[in-house]
Amino acid sequence: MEETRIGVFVCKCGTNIAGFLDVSDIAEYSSTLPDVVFTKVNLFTCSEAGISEIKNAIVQHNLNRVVVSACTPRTHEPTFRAACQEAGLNPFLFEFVNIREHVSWVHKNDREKGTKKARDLIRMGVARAALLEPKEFIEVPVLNEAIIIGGGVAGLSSAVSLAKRGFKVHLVERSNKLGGRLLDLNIIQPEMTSAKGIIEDILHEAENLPLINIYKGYKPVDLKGCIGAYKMIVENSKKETKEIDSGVIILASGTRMLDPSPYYGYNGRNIITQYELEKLLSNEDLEINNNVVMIQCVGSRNSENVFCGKICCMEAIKNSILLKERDDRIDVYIIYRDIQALGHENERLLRKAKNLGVRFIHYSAEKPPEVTKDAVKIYSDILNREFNIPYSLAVLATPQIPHSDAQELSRILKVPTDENNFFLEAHMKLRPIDFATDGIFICGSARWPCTVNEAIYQAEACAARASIPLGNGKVKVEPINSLLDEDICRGCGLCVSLCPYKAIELVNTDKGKKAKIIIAACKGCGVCGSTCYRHAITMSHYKDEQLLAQIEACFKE
Amino acid sequence: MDKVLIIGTGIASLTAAMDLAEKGIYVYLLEKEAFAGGLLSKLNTVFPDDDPSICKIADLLFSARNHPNIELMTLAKLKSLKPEETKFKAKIHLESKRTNDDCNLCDRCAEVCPAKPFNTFNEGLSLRTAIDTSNPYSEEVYYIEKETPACIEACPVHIDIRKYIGLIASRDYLGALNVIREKNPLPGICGRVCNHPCETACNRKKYDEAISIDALKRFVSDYELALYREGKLSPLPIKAPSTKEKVAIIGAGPAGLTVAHDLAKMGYRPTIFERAPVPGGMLWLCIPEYRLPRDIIQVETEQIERLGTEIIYNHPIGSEHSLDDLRREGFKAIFIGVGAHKGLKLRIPGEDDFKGLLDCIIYLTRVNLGDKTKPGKKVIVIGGGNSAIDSARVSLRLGCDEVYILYRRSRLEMPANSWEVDAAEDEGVNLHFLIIPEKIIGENGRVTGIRCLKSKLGKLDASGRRQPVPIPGSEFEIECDLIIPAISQEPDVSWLAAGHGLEISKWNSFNINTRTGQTNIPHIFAGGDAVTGPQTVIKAIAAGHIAAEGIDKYLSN
Repeated sequence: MEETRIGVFVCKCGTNIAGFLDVSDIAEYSSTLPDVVFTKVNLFTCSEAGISEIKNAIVQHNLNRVVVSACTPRTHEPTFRAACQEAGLNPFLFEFVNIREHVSWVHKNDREKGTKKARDLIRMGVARAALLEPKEFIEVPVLNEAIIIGGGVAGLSSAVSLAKRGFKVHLVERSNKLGGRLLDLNIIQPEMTSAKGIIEDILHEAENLPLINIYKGYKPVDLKGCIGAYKMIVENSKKETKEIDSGVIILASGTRMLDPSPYYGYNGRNIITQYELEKLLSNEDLEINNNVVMIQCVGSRNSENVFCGKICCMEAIKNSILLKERDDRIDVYIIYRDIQALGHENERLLRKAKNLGVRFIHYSAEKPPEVTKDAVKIYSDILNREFNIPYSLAVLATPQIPHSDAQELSRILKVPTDENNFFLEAHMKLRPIDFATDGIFICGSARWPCTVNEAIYQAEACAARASIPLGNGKVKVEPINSLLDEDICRGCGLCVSLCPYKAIELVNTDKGKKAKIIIAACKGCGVCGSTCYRHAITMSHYKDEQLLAQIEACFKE
Repeated sequence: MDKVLIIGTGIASLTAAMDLAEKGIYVYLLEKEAFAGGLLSKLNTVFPDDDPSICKIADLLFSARNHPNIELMTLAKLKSLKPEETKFKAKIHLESKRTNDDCNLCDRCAEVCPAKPFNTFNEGLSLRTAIDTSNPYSEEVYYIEKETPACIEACPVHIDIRKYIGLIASRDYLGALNVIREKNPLPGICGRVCNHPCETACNRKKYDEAISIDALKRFVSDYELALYREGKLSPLPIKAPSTKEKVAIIGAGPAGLTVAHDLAKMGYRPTIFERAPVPGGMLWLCIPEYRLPRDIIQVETEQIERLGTEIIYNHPIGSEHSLDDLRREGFKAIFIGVGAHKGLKLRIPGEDDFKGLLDCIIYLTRVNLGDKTKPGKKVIVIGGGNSAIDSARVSLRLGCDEVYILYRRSRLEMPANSWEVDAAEDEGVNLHFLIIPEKIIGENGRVTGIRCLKSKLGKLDASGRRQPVPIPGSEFEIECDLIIPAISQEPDVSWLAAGHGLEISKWNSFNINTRTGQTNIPHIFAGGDAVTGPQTVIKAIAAGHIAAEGIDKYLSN
C-alpha cells in the first residue's frame, strides 16, 4: 500500500476569501491534518501561477492526493483536475473544498467563526481525499442526429444550419404549421424587413433539405437516455406516438402571448394588443383616424410577471413610425415606464419616432393609466400633471410569456426553469446556450424573450455547439455513477422505480432477478444507493466509506 | 486545411477557439499583448453574480492553453493577410518573451526588476515592472517588455546603446568604447557630427528630454584620446598583413573606412585608394574644422590602418588606373565608396553666364584643404541642408561682410540639423525662408545679384514635406557678389572607364543588392552616398558593414 501524501492549496481568491477569513491560520491548521505533507497559500489558485504550483508540488513532494480549498467545483473543478493530470496524477484524486460560497461569502461578518468553519470543511475534505480512488472518463458514442423542439425561426434556423453540416435533423413542432410567431408579424425593425419574407426564406430552405425530418402536430411526452443516445417519444393530438433517436437535443419551443383580457378593458376592437396591431398594419386599407394611444409594460414588470418583455418598446416605436408614415395626421402617444432602445439602430428609430411627432409620456408603476370609454387618463410624473387623451385605438404592449406546459417540458427533458418558467441555461455568461445536462441546448424566446436576430444567432450558436459531439461521434462523460454488487442485490426493483433517469432496469440472470445499471444514462445522483436497503448499490467517487470518513471528520476536531 | 486563425484572446475568442478545437479544428490564437484573456481578465468582478472575473475566464484560458488543437501566441501581431486560392496566408510578427520552460514562476525577478515601463492597461498613468506579473491569469506571466530598446532600433548600425551607457554609468569608459566600436569604427567622428536618430527615438523624452547619447559617445572617445596623449595608454599594435584575399576600396570616407575596418578584422588585406591627400572623404573635405577637428579624423583613420589597412592618398581610380587594372593586380573584390561630390545645378537662367557662382562642395573642399582667402563681400547661399549652413558659417569666418541663406521652404522643413541652424543664426547668418531663386543677374561677366520669387507652402510631396508654390508677381532682387548653390549632390561617375558595365541609376548612383552591397558585377560592391545620394555618416557606416559582410560572403564561396 502506497503511503498517502496529501497536498492542500488554500486560495485567497484575491480578497474574496482572504478578506473575510484568516487564510494563513487555515493553511497552518491544514498542515497538521493527517497525511498532509504539503500546504500552500495562493493569491489565485486558478491562475497560471497557482496551477503551476500545484503541478510543481505534485512532482517535488510526490503528492498522490490534492485538496484545493477555494471556490465552487462548478467553475474550476475541470481546471484543477487537468492540473493533476498534467503532473501525472489521476484527475479523480482531487478534492474540492468550497470555502468561498460556503464560508467567506456567507459569513462575512464573523471572521473567527468563518475561519473555524473553513478549518472544519478542509478537515472533512482531507479525510475524504485520503480515500479517493483513481478513475477514467467513460467514452460514449454519439448518434449523429439531432432533435429540435419547436418550428419557429430559432428551431428552423438551427435545423437548417445542422442539416447543412450533414447531420440528420428531426424537427418536432406542436402545431400543424411551421414558422412560429413570425407568420403573424408585419415588419421587423430596425431593418424594416418583412417578417414573412424572413421566415419564408428559412422555411423554403428547411423544406428542401432532405436531411430534415419534420414532425408536425407532435409534442414530446417522454425522453430516455443521455448525450449520444437520446430516445424521445412524441405524441400527436390523436395520441399516436413515435419514437425518435438522437445524439443531441435543441430546445426552441418559444413562448405564447399573455392573455390581455384582464387589462385596461381589452376588447379586441378599439382596445387591442401590439401583436394584433401588427396584423392590422399589414392591411393596406386599414383606416385609422384620430389618436392612437400605446400603453407599455401591460402585464409585465409587475408582481405577477416580474420580467421585461424586451421587444415591446421597439415594437411600439416601430409601429408608431409606420402609423405616422401612413398618415401624418394621426396623433400617436406612447405611454411608457422605461424605454429599452439599445444599439445605435434602435436609438436611431427612437429619435426618428420623436422627430415624426410621436409623443412619449412617462408614467410610474404606482400611478398606471386608466382607460375609459373614450379617453386614456394618465398622470405624467415628469410634468407633474394629468392628461386626458381621447383615443380611437388603444394599443396594449403585452409580453411574451412561457408556454403553459413549460413545466411539463422541463420535467420531460430534466432541464431547469427559472422563477418565471423560462428555461434556465447552464451559466448566464459562460454557457449561455447550454443546459447543465450534456447534449441539450437552448435558443430563442424559450430562454428569455428575444428579438428575431437574437433568436437566429442563438440558433446558429446552438447548431455550432451541437455539432461538436455530433461531428466527433463520441463524448467523454464523468465516471461518477452507480455501482451494483450483484451478489447482494435481491432484485426488489425499488431502485428501478425511483431512478429519475431511467438508468436502471431489472434483468433475469442465472441467480434470479437482478438490477442492471445503464452507465451511459446514469447521472450519479445517488438516489438508488441511498434507498437500497441491502446496500448493494454504491456510488463511484462518492462511496459510503468516503462520505462516512468525511462525516466522522466533521465531528472530530 | 482545417485551420482557423482567431485574432484576440478575450472571452469571445477563447470560447470560439475552444468550440472549434473540440470539433477537431486546429486554431491559432493571436494576442498582441503579453497576456491572453482580454479585458475581462483584468477586471475585478462582473455582475450580476459578482464572481471575480477570473472565474469566468481562467478555466477557458487554462483549457485553451493546454488544448492540443490550440496554438496560443502572445506578443504576436498580424502583419498581413493574403487570400490564396482556398485559404488565407497570414504573416505574424512574434516578439521575444525571453522566458523558457525552465521558468517556474517564482516571482522573484519581478520583485527586483529595475526597469519600469508605462503600464499600458492604465493608459500609461502608472508604471509597472518590465517583467510583468500584473496579470496572473495568462499564458506568459513573465516577459520582458521589448527585445530592442527604441534607441538601438533607431540607430542604423544598432550600437548596443543600453549597454555602453550602462558601462559609462559604472565608469568603465574604455569598456563602453569597445561596445561602440563593435558596430561603429568612428566613435569620435560620430560623437561630433552624427544626427543621432537614437536621441530622436529616446523614450526618456516622454518624461523630460532625450539621453545625450551622442555626447556620451564623444566623451568616451575623447577620454581614450587623452589617455593616448598622456602616454597612459599605448596605441594598438600594428597588425601584420593577413593571408586572406586583397580587397580594393575606392574612397576613404566613412563607408570605405568601415569596409576596411571590418575586412581587416576578418583577416582580409584591404587597400584604400583615396583621390584626396587626406582621409575621411566628405568628413574632411566638406565638414568645417570647427565642427570636426581634423586630428580626430586622423586618429580614427590611424586606428583602422593599425588593424591592417593600407591607404594610398592622391590616387584617383579612373582612366590611368581602372577597375579592370585593380582586378588584374590581384584584388579579388572592389568596394566603391566614392561618395556624392557633384553639386546639383540650380537650373535657372544665368547660372553658366557669370563668374561668382561657386558650388558649396567645391568651395568647402577648397577651404578645408587650406585656401583661406575671402571669397566675396556679400554671399548668398541657396539651400537648407547642412552643407548650406556650413558654407554660410565658413564664409562668415573667412571675413565676408554679409551672408544670406535663401531657402524655398520654411524653417521646419530644413534638412539641416536644427542645432546647426540655430548656431548659424547666432553667429550672424541671415536666414530667409520661402524664397525661390529665379534668375542670376550679372554685369561684365560677374554676378551682381539674384532675382527671386516669394513662395508659400502647398501640398505634401514625395519626401513628405510641403511643396513650395511660387507666388506670381512677388519678384524681387538681392545684390551680391558670390552665390553658393548648396542644393544637394549626386555621385560623380565620370571617372568610370568607358564600357565599365556597371548599372547606374538615373540619379547617377550605383545600383546594388541592398542586403549584400553587391553591384551587377559580382566582384564589385558599393555603398554610402555613392549609392544613396547625400546621407548621414552613420548611414554610410551601416552601408559599409553590409558591404563588408557581402564581400566576405562572396570571397568565402
